Amino acid sequence: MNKTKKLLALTCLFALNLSLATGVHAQEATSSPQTTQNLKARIERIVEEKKDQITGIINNLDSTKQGFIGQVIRISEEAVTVKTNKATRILPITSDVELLKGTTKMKLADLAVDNWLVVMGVVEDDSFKPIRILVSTDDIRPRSYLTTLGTISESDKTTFTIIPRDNPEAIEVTTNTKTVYEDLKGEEIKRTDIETDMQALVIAYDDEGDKIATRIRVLTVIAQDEN
Amino acid sequence: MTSLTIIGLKMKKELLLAIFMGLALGLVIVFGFYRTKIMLTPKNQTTNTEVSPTPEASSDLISNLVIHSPLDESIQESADVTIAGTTNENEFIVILVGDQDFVTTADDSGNFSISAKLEVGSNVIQVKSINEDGKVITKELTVIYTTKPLLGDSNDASPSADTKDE
Repeated sequence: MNKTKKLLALTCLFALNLSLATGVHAQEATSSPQTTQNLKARIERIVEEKKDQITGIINNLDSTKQGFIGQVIRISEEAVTVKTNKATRILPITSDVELLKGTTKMKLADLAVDNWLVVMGVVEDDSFKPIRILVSTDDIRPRSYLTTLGTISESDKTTFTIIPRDNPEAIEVTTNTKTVYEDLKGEEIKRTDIETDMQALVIAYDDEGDKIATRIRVLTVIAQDEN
Repeated sequence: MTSLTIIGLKMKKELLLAIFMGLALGLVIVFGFYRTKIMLTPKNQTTNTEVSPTPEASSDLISNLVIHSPLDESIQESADVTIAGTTNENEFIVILVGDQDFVTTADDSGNFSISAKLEVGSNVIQVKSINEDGKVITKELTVIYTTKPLLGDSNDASPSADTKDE
């Protein structure tokens, strides 16, 4: 029996030894110089690509200052409610807040609903504190723009008709003396260089129903005469 | 006879025990070899450092247009601004700053960047990314340009053209 016990003990020891050896092999198997090399190259590539992003972030580190524009929808004794393109905000107007229309100082009582405001202030303890508010009775938002990529189907002296790639409905844009014509490289070309069936990127703004083209870029390179 | 039987039985017992232990030992050894083999076989997943390409998403679904600079709703005391961001590679980028428009193309990494001049007061910047199907993704941000410092000299009585008189 002693022999049996000895044999059993030896077997258990041997089995234990094998499992430990397996564990050690498992740890050694994961290191690879090639992996490190690849990771290094990848990190360098990402740093290079993100340079602009990092620069932008550094330039905006002074993030406590905040400014936005909006339209007045409600005025109370000590606050004004402003609707922005993101949210509706209630701004406390204290004696420290500078209200200006042009260079003229204003009071809260001088504000009216539908006034447009340029609000500048700081963020303190997660809440916004206005410091200076510029008031305008006119809409200070920019004009509405159309941007489209499509085929020029028709043209005459003052208009182009474009069929957008994402919409079969044709769009007519009007050109004027301020319209810029350029080719794929961004080189300025003449209006007469633009022909039907050309692909073009068109930027136009809305003017009382008419679309006035500010820029038409054809997606082809046009050689210019050296005159 | 009885003693012989007893001896015989004892021998059978030991024999059976020896067979059992031999089998157990054999199994342990085989298992050990099997585990070692698995651990030593290189696993492709851990050494693959290639970034798998993002599946091409339908332009109706996901916008890859990201604006890195400038920060939305920021205030600056300089008219110069760099508008930078990323989108899908080689897409057209149209940037509208007030009444100015700029056209550029994202590079092979999807990066784009242009420089522009802000007007005094509010500037709504629209960045439009257009893919080859003509789909337009738009991101809008507001940047305030002031010539009068906001902090510290806010009680300065000297006038400044901070609003556009229209």
